[in-house]
Amino acid sequence: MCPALLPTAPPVVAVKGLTKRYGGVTVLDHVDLSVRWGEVRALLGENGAGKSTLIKVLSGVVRSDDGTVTLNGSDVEIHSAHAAQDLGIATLHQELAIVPGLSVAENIFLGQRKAQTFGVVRWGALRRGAELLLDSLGQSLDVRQDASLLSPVGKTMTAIARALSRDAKVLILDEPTAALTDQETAQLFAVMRRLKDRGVAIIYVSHRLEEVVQVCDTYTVLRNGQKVGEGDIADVTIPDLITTMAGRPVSTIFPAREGTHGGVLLRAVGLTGRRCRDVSFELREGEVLGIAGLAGSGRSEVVRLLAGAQHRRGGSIEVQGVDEASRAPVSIAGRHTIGRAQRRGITLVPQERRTDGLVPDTIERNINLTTLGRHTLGRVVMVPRRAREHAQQRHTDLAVRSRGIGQPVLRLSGGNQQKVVLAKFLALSPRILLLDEPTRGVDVGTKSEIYHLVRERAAQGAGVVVVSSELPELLGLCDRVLVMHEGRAVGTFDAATTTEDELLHACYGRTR
Amino acid sequence: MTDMATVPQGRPARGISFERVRPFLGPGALVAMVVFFGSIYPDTFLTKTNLVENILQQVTALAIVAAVQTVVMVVGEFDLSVGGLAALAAGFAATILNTATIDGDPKQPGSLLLAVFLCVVVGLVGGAVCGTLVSYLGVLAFIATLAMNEVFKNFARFRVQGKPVYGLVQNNFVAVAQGKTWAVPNTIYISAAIALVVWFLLDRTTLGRKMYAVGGNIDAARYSGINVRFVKWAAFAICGVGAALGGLMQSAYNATANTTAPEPWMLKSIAAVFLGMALMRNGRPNLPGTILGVILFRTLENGLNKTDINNYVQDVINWGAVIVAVLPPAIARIRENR
Repeated sequence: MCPALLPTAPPVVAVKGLTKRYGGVTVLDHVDLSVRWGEVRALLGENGAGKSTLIKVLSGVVRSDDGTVTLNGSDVEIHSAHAAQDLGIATLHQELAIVPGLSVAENIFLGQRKAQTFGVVRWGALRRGAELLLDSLGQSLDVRQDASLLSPVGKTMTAIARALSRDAKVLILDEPTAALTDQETAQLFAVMRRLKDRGVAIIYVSHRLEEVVQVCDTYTVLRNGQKVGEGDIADVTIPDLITTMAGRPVSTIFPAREGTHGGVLLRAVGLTGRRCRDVSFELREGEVLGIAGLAGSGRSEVVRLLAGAQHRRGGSIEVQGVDEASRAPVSIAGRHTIGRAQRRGITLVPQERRTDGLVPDTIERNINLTTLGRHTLGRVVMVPRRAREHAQQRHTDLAVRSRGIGQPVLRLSGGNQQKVVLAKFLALSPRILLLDEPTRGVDVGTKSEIYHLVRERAAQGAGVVVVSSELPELLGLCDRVLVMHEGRAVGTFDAATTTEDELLHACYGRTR
Repeated sequence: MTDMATVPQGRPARGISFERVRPFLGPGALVAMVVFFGSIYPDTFLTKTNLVENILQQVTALAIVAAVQTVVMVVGEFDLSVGGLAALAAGFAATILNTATIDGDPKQPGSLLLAVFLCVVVGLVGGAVCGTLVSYLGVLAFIATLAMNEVFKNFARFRVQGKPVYGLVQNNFVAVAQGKTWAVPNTIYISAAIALVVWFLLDRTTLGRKMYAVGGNIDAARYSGINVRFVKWAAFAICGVGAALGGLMQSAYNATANTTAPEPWMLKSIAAVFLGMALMRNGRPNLPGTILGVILFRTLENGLNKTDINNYVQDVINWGAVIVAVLPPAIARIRENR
C-alpha cells in the first residue's frame, strides 16, 4: 500500500519553526512538519500536545507568533480561514461543517460561485458537478437530499468533496473516524487512497493508532508543543508510538481484572424505549459490564434508560440496596428522572462532555455541581470554604492537570475536561456507575488513568457499565460484554475469551 | 503518573489584558461621570439632593426590577412582562388602599397588610404563569413574556378602568416610601435590602448555583441531576414577586398607582443586566454588575439633563453609551477565539 513516494520531491506543505503562545503559555514551540505529494502523515500526540493549534494555524483560524509556512516551495501567509481555502488547504474537523436543510450538492459548493449565472443558481449544473466529484471518490449519494440526514460517513464524504471542489492540495483530517463504524472507516480509507493517487497531501490526526498504522505513511509526534519524534510508519510499532507520545513506556494500559463478584446489584428485565427493545441483563457487585454495538444500535439508550435520562416505555429495573436496611431489591416504578436515579445510587456519565458534561464555569463549580447540598448550612446556604475543599480534594484524587480549581474548565485539554466530568459524577459515590464512551477523544495516558479509576470503583463494590465504540477497550477493560444490534441484546460474551472479530460479527448481527 | 505531560505553568500574561482592567471599568466610569458633570455643574449636579434624591432615589424601583431580571437572565432567559406585572400588582394593592372608589365615591381604605400580601401573590402567580409557559410548556420567552406583558398591563387597566389610582395616603403606606432615615430616603434602604437578598440567592445558595448551571449549559445541568425545569420556573416566579414589589414601591412613593409608570422597566432592566455582564464577571449576569449598570445609566441620564442638549439627542447618547459599554467584551470574546 506504500505508494511510490519520491523522497527527493519538494514537500507540498512545509512548516518551519512554528511557534504559538497563548498568554504566557507556549503551546507550539518551533515545530517543523512537512508533507509531500501523495503522502499521508499522521500527526500524533496526547491531548494538549499542540496538534489542534497546529491545525488551527494551517487552516487560518489562529495566527502563529513565529515560523513560516511554505506551500509548493513558496512562503505563504495564512491570515484567515478564507485565505487557507484559497491556498488549497482544506480541514475536516471532528464536527463537520454541514449546513442542515441544504442539500448535499449545496453543501459541497457552499460559499462558492459555481454553477451560477448573475447570482442565479443553475441547479442542474450544481447537481451534476456534485455527482461528478462524489463519483471521483467512488461514492454514490443522492445529492438532492438534506445533508444533515446523511450518515456520518456520508457527511465526511460531502466534506471531502467540498475540499476537492476547491481544488485542495492539502487535506487535514481531524479525528475523522470518531463517529464512524469500522465498515465506514474502511470506506473512508479507500477514499483516502484515491486522494493519495491524485497527489493530495494528507495530515491525519487520530487517537486510534491501529488506524494510523493502517493508513498513514509517515508520522510526527508532538508533546508539550514540541516535536519529539518523526519517521516512517513502517519502522515503528504501536507501543513505540505510545511511548513517544506519553514520554514514558505505557506498560499496562488496562488494569488487571479483579476475580470476585458479589451479589446482583441491578436486574433489568425487558427494557424498552426509543431505539431499545426488550433488553435484559444483570449487573453484579464488583463487575464491569461492557456494552458494544454499532452507532444507532441502542447501546447508549440502554444506559440512558437506566439513568432516567430517557423515557422507559416498558420493562422493569430492580436495584439492590436502595433501601439500606433491608438490602432487598427495589423495583423502580413511577417517574425515573436523572436526579432520582442518582439518589438511588445510579449515575450516568454522559457521552458528550462539551454539550452534556460541563458548564462554562470554573473547575470548582463543575466538580461541585452534583453535590451542592453537601457544602451547605441547612442544605440551602453555600459554605464556600467547604465547596472549595471538596473540589480541591476531587481535583487531586483524579490528578487533573490545571493551574488550579479556579481555572475555567473549557480552557483545559479534552482529557482533563473528561477527568473533571468524572470527578463530578464520582463524587456521588454511585453503586451503579454507567459510563457512555468515557475515553472518546482522550489521549492514551488519560485513557489508562480512567480505566484504573473504573476498576478501582468496581473493586470497592460498585457495578460498572461501560458503553464504547472501541472494541479493544471493551475487551481489555470489562468482565463481560453485552452486544446490541438494532435495539436488541444479541448476546453476552466473556471478555477474557472473546476476540475482537467475534464481537464485531455480533455487532453486525451475525453469529458464528 | 506524576511525570506525565504537565500543563505548562506559564508566566502571567504580559501587557494589560482586558480581563485585568474589567473590574475597574464600571466604578471608573461612574467616578469619571461624577467628576465630569460635577466640574461643569458644581451647583446643580454635585449636590446631595441631586446625587441622592434625583439619581439614587429615582432608580430604586427600577433597581428592584433589574435585580430580579438578573435572576431570569442567569438561567438564560429574559422576562419582558415585568412592567405589566408591576402595574397589575400595584393596581390590585391600590384598589384596596385607596380612599375613594374608581368611580369617585368615598370609601374606607382596606388593610395595608392585605394589600401587600395581595400584591406579592399577584406577582408570584404572574411570574409562575410566565415560568410555566416557558419552562414546562416550551414557549419561547420572547413571545410568552411579551404577550403576558400585554395581558398583565391591560388587565391592570381594566381593574382600574384606565385611570390612575390616587389617594393612597393612609396606613403609613406613602409615609414610609416618602420618608427618610438618617437623611437617606427609605426607598434606598428597601431597594438595597432586596438587592442583597437577590445577591445572596444567586451567589450563596444552592439554588443560585443551580441557576448559573442551567444558564451555562442546560444539558450538563440536567445530567448533573438538577431539576432544570423547576429551576427555570423558580427564576420566573422570583422575578414576578420582585416586579410586583417594585411596582408597589413606586406607587407608594408617588402616592398613585399608575399603569404607565412601570412601562420603561422592561427594556431598562434588561439593559442594566447587560451592562453588568459587560462590566463584571466575564459576561455572566450578576447582581453587583446589574446594580452598577442601573446607577451608571441613571447618572448619565441625570448629567445630560443638566445640559442644554436636545432631549431626544440625550436619549440617543444614553443608549449609544450602552452599546459602547457592551462592545469591548464582545470584541474581546471574538479575539479570544482567534
